[in-house]
Amino acid sequence: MTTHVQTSADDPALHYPSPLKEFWQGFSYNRGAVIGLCFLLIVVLAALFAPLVAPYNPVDQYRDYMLTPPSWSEGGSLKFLLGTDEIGRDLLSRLIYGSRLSLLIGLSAVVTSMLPGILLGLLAAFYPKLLGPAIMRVMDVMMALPSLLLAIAIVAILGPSMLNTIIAIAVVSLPGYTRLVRASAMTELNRDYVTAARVAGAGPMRLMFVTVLPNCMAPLIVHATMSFSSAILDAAALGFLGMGVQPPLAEWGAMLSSARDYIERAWWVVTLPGLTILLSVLAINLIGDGLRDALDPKLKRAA
Amino acid sequence: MTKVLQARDLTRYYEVSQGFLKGNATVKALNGVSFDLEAGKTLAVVGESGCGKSTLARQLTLIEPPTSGSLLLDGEDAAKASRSVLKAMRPKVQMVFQNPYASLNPRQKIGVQLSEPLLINTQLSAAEREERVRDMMTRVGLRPEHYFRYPHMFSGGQRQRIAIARAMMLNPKIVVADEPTSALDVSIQAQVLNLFMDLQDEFNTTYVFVSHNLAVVEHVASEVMVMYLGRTVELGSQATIYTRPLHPYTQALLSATPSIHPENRRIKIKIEGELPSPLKPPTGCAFHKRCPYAVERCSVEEPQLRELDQRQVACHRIEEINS
Amino acid sequence: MSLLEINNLSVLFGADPHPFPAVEGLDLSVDQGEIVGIAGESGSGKSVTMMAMMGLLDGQGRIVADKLQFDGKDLLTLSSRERRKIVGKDISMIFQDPMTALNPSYTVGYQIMEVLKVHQHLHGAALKQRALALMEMVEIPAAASRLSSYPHQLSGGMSQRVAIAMAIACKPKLLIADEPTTALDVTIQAQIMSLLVDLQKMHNMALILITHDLAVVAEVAQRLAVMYAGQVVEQGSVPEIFRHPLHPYTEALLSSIPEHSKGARRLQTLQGIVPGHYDRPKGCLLAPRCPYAVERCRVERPELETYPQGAARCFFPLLDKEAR
Repeated sequence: MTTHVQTSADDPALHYPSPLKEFWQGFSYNRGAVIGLCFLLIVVLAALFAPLVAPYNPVDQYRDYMLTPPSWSEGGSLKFLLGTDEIGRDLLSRLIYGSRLSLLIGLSAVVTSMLPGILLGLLAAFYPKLLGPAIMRVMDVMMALPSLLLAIAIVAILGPSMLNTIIAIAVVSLPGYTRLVRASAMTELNRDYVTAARVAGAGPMRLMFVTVLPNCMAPLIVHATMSFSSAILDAAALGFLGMGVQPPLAEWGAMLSSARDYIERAWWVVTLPGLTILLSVLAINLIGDGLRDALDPKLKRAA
Repeated sequence: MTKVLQARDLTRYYEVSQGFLKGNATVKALNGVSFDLEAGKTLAVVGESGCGKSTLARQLTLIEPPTSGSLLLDGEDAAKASRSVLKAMRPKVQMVFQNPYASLNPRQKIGVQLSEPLLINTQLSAAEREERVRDMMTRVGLRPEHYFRYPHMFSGGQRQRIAIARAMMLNPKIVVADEPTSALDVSIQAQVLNLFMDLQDEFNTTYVFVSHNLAVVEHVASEVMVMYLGRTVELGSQATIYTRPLHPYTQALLSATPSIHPENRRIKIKIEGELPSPLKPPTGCAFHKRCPYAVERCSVEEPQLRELDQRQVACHRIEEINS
Repeated sequence: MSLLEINNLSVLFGADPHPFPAVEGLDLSVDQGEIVGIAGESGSGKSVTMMAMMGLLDGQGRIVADKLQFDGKDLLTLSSRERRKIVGKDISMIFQDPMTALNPSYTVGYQIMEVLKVHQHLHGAALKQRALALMEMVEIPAAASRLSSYPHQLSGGMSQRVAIAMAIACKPKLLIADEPTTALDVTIQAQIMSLLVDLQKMHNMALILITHDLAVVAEVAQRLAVMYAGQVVEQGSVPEIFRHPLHPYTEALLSSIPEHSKGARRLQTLQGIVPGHYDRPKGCLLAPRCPYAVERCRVERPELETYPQGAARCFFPLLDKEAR
């Protein structure tokens, strides 16, 4: 004999929006986050379509137009909307192409540190007797060193290049992810649904990646967004110090560095790349806030 | 009657660290519990927090091995089984948890969660699994169209139905239900209890029903085991225990349970104090500090379970108390 | 005159044009020294009623009432400062989970003394003595040493006793207990309920007991109000209301309790679930689930009518049903 439960005609389950719609509702509630998202979208589009959007090649030097001010200033020309740098390269084009590098470095650094970070964090949470403490002690040591110095040291050893910049930033961000995932996983491990999966016969692989990991994603996504912005900053810092991306590649931090001597004479060569870095990082952080708003309430409601 | 499970002297101790310089303390969560389970019947495990019933539930579902003792399931001793034997045993014992809001994975659709036991333990194709899941969903009173919904879209009672469906997916011999209705409203509790009874009638499943609610236990149980601080104090059929409880703790539990109708109420036996800590169990009988009938002997000698008046009971003074 | 007089209280959440009525048209009166139970399941509005009255809803809900009077004072028009003088002193409340009801960062002694400092302006030795006396009144063993314990060092039963001590510190006229024993073991529950009843008699307090456990109400309360989906559906005196329930919901609730179906394999249940925000019936709120519902019930909303046995919100109350 089966037991039938007649839910009323207006089934509450039918009123729930799809997860994507729910997410967007939570995210768009934060005005700053939406603005940030729009800005980032512009940057991404500029990066993707750089050859179409940039007026000039970023490495071409126009020796007749060195240190031209931006078009709205005195002495500027509409030919170079944001002016030129000290060897006559168009600033606007360099900024647009530079967005490619920053986004690429940011994304690669995040992915390269997130994946091992997730694995190490899960292992540390699932094997807390021996493997866990061992992993965490290594992470503690890594975190004890100032991150920028560590990045510099790595680049110094491996040699300055874009790839090594990515590696350096990834290494520096690794402990953050590991700790986050471990803390999240340890909380989830106590929950009944994990025990239920164990009782159903799930082995450690399934428990780690299918049962527990999806429930650790929310803080992870927020952290990943924030570390995306700090990756951009770190890349800029390394570039500024001459240890990151090498010329003539246009990278925002390197642009800052090479313009150090021109701060008084040609403010735009320093200010504009700096402003671009600022706005990009700000946009990403605002998005991170919005993500937190969108994802956390779901957690609360789901609990 | 076929015996599906035989537990003998199940014991489970935990080591807890007490800080940096102090040594480890031992929590004696389970201290020698023995019982048999008969097919299609319900054994209720009754006791208050700290009595070891949740530890017992974890032992029975093979999540942790006992520190000592044996657990015979279909002739195999789970306490000494190898990993592969344990894996084969798992489908025979499944569990329903107390909190319907925590026992389902918030990030998995319920259809996926329900088919997971089949995915892990059987060789069925995806289509066959889905069919079985939908069938089970209908059986427990859920709409099969809700296969793709997430747990937070369901009410507490519906979630508990999902949890029960998950436990029944492998058609286990034994289902351990750990306070399955404690978090539910009275009317939902009634629906869920009816579901339990219907499923038992249909599949002849054996239940181990852990609860502190003696009114619910009276309704579902065929046998009752009363636990205190990791030990069995009384074990007998439901009728015997409820009409003639012998152990002072059982009597106190029954008298403390409120009743709506005055004719069902028992004389209140007031017991003072609280459950002692399992880190520092009292000497002798674990109950002696709160027992209204305790004498010198009770603080020195631990009473053993003995057969008396159609049940087993562990108390030195049963005959004197109940004369 | 009653100590507490509530007429036509409604609490609404959310925006117009469709706010959610967590409480709808509630009438309740409590006399000095009386024990009144409010029973209902989740979503019945029983806790929201009391929180609204105490001013604990913090602007989330809109409170509308014809009358909300305590001890002659109109609670609707009080300023928040005046309300703070009453709440915690003349009206106090204890909650379901004692572990979270106490502040984990302060000792229990500090928390009891805080209540005394704020409302009775005691200091120094007198303060400590009174705190100690209160701990002993709630039967906490070795009270003197427990004053310096933190909440996490106490068991559930002990924490609830501390919460009770804080609640009765200023000899309140009305004590509201919101599911005080639901989180406790059954023997501890018996101790706490017995303590509450003793204290109530000792101080001649009015006690409102909010619970979903009808058996607890049956043993302790003198009157009972049964709530469903934000409305009071039945009010009556205990034990009459259990012997002759007037409203189908009360009857169904009693039927679904295991105690009621001794020997039966299945329990009697009501189909369906409590209406939420989006599926509130036009007529009687129980009509979709009520075994006795007829066309009138689906169209018209019944008012709370008084009968000799009690009050019920039903067009066809179960007046001549045999006793159970």
